[in-house]
Amino acid sequence: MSHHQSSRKSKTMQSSARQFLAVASVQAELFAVKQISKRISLSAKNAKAIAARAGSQAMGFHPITDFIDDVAINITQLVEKINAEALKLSSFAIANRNRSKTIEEMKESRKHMLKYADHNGIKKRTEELEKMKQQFLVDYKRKNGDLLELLAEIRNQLQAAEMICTTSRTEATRAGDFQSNLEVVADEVSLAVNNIKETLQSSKYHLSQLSLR
Amino acid sequence: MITQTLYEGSYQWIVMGRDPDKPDKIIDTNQYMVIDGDRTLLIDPGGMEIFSAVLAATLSVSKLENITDIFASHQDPDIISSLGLWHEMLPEIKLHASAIWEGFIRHFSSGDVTYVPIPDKGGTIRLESTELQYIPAHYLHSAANFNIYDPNAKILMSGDIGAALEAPGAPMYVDNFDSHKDKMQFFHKRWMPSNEAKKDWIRRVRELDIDIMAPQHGRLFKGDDVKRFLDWFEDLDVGIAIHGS
Repeated sequence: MSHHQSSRKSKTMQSSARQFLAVASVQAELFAVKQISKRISLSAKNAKAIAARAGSQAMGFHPITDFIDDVAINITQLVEKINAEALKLSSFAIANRNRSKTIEEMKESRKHMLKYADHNGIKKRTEELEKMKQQFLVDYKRKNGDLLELLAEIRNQLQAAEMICTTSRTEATRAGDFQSNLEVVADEVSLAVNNIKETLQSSKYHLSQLSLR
Repeated sequence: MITQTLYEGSYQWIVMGRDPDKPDKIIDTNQYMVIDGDRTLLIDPGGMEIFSAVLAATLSVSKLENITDIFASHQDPDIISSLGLWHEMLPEIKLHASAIWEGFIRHFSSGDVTYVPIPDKGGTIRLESTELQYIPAHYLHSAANFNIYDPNAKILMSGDIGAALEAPGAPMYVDNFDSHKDKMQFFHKRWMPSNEAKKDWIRRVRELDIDIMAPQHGRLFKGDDVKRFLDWFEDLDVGIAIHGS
């Protein structure tokens, strides 16, 4: 195998390895997000129990806990959706890698073909595959954009959760003996929201690595 | 990659091999092709690493769109790991291989290649003017394994049976059977697992009229060397790893 051929092949491998790694990283990060959102849901249930014990003093807390729970459920659902889409994107990347490899191999093959060999047949099929690859790149870009939109949706949910944390702290001051308990819950949710935000930042970076070259 | 015609009649048998550009660390393989009018059957087209060389060699004797069928003698990567590339290039291609390897061999492609399963008892494949036979060679070495026999051209493509580990650039045919035995011995003793399967195969193959026995590695056997090989193989104790040797 010539040096040129082996370096060309290794570039293809590096590029596809980068994509697979990016998808795996996004999946791992989203798994962590899912775990954190479960914690948020648990905090919301905890706050609900505290508010029930606090009775009329913590009346304002009931709709807040329901809302926090909803946010946690929404985040979990979005994470599942993103995971499924990231997996599809990964399969796309594999298909693209195979197609690119076929095209490369066909071009390499043409270099070694004898004058009278079937150049027309291989040229025609290479052009068809190149066209399919171009269309594929368009589809891939669109799917990648959809993923980033889903991530943005999670960020919207987090913004809402942050506002709720602020409201929770205000409501906690009216809960008398239960003030500190409810403040702890608000802190927990706030911390979880920040954790998710940081993780999503990393996921956004990894998704940008998925763009095909 | 060298191409050599094995049979020339209303159709052709061609061997492709001895690729000088093959990466050193992969085993050398012989690829075969039967060109019959507008249908070309590729036999054990080889691994991914040698795809471009095999393609170039194939298109020097066949039109791209005429490559309609691939036969895989068994499931090993040096036999058929190029399947995904062939399938991407020729989406209508049919793969003929053992029924029990279907779920395994599909791992080498995107999974939706047209798979024509061969039952354990064997069968035939009809090209344009000729019909080839699938000869069961199970456990030699693979659990589900087939040879291809052409009764008209008197060629037996014997897969890994008769294979030899050779230096690069070896001649295409065995020229001295006695000196060739050393190159086959370890391969057969270690890779072939069953003396019983070996005896059964030899019994059936002795009944066939064979001019050329064409293995997937190493040199081809011609004329009396075919019988010499069968006699040598019959006396060889195989499956040696069972005894830890």
